Amino acid sequence: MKTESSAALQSIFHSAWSEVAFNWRLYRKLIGAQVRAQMQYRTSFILEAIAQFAGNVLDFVVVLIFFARLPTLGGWTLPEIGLLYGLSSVAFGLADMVIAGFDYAYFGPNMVRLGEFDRVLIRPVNLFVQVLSSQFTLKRLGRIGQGAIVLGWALLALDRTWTPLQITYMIVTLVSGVCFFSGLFIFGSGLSFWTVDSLEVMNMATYGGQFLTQYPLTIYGEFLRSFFTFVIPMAFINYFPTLWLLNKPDRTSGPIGLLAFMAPFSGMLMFALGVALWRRGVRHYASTGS
Amino acid sequence: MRLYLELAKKSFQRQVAYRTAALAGLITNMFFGVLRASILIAVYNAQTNSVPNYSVRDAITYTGMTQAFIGAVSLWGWYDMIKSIKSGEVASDLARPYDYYNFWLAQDLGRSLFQLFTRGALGMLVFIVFFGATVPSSLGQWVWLAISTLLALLLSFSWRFLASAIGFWTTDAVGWMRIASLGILLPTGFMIPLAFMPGWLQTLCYLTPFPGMLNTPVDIYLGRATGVEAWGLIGLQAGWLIVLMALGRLAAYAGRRKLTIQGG
Repeated sequence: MKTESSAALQSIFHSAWSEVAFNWRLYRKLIGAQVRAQMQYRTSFILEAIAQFAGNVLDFVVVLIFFARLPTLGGWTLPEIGLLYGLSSVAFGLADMVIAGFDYAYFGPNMVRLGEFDRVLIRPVNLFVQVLSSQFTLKRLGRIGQGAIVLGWALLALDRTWTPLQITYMIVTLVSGVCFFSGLFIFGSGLSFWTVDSLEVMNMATYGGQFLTQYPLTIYGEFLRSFFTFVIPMAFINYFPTLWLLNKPDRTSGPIGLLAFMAPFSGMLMFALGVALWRRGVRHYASTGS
Repeated sequence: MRLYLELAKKSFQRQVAYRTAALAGLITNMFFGVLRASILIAVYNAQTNSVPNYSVRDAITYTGMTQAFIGAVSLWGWYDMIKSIKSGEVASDLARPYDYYNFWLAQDLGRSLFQLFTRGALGMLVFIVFFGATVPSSLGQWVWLAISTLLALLLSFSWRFLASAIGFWTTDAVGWMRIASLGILLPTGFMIPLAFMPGWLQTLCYLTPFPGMLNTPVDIYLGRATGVEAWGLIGLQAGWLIVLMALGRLAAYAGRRKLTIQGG
């Protein structure tokens, strides 16, 4: 009796494991093909990567222009803002590259409106894996690279000795950020099962969020601050961890305490929310029928 | 001429069809406006009189105006013409008995004006009512603004046409268009008012046609350029427009000889 149930358990575990392994192999294969395809158009790839890099550089050039006139902005020095900006940029770029299949600007018009999602549904493979491996925007390396340069520069310019705990948490923050932004994109493509026309509002959370988190949250008004703390908990994956890393108090509400360590929870929460909505969307999906 | 008016009108009407999208766009546009304005206000909070002769109210008005222009000047890029070259549709466009350059110019103007008078004007109205953006007070300013805005739209088109014309030679035109649109965000004055920049950078920007696509109408709206100075800036816009249009027509002429139609 006992051995029977443990054997059953083992076989369940075994089949679950082999499914994960199968999906992982499939994912790697499809992404490999994507990358090779993009490298076929070498010039195009280089141009797009340059555009990504340049587009991001401009954001930081603006910060530099401000600092040509000011010693601090919202009580933050240039390297401090660099850290904030770098963490946000790299996390966003990574998410945007990996999760591109769920980029609602692609998913809504193509998968849902044109009904390409039909094809995904009839294949006997995990839906999530299929969508995830349908796109991989390598050109985002330009954006990620620019963010990484600023991040590296900020870390040097701050001229501190970072403890192993701080370095570990910095990496945790980055990963949480990737989860968070990915969750937002998945949420957006989930919404597209109901509406494609008004998807642009999602840009407020994704691109808007990334833009907003490049600056310390203190410079915004009460409404935006609360919105990005309580409604879309983006402050936890960037602003509060950075405060902790820099030993800075939150100007508005005193010591930050445990708020600094909410990043992984915030990231996981957003990701889970996105996936949940997307799954509901799949059940809601009715093909365009053409 | 009637034909081109008709094309512009049709293009204008096509835009009307996407009302939900337009509303979503407007809300998003407002949100980004608030973000951008917050950052500029923070600069003033850090140091009063950060920029001489540029008040906080000017900065807020600037943000409203630049947000209002985004759609009209297709700030993030314009891919209609590139798509038609890539798909081979261009063959029938070229075979039709009208001028290829004017064909796109008329359509883009229809689209631009629609964007300006719906999304743009509504957005600006919200900025005026809720955020205290200013309104030009003299008739002269309105006249200069009208001329300068029209020139800005045309200048923007002539630049986008040039970038699109690359499509006659290469299949990578989309990448070039992205660079052509992102690359001018700073000198157009979209990222930051030209007045905020250090002197040498301002001079550098004014050596290009790009301030005429955005910064000039905004400066006129703000009353920062009046009288002779306003006419001077308008003249500069017109001058660059002639240059860019001539180059665009040249590119279209050379391109149609070079063009290989894809497809079958």
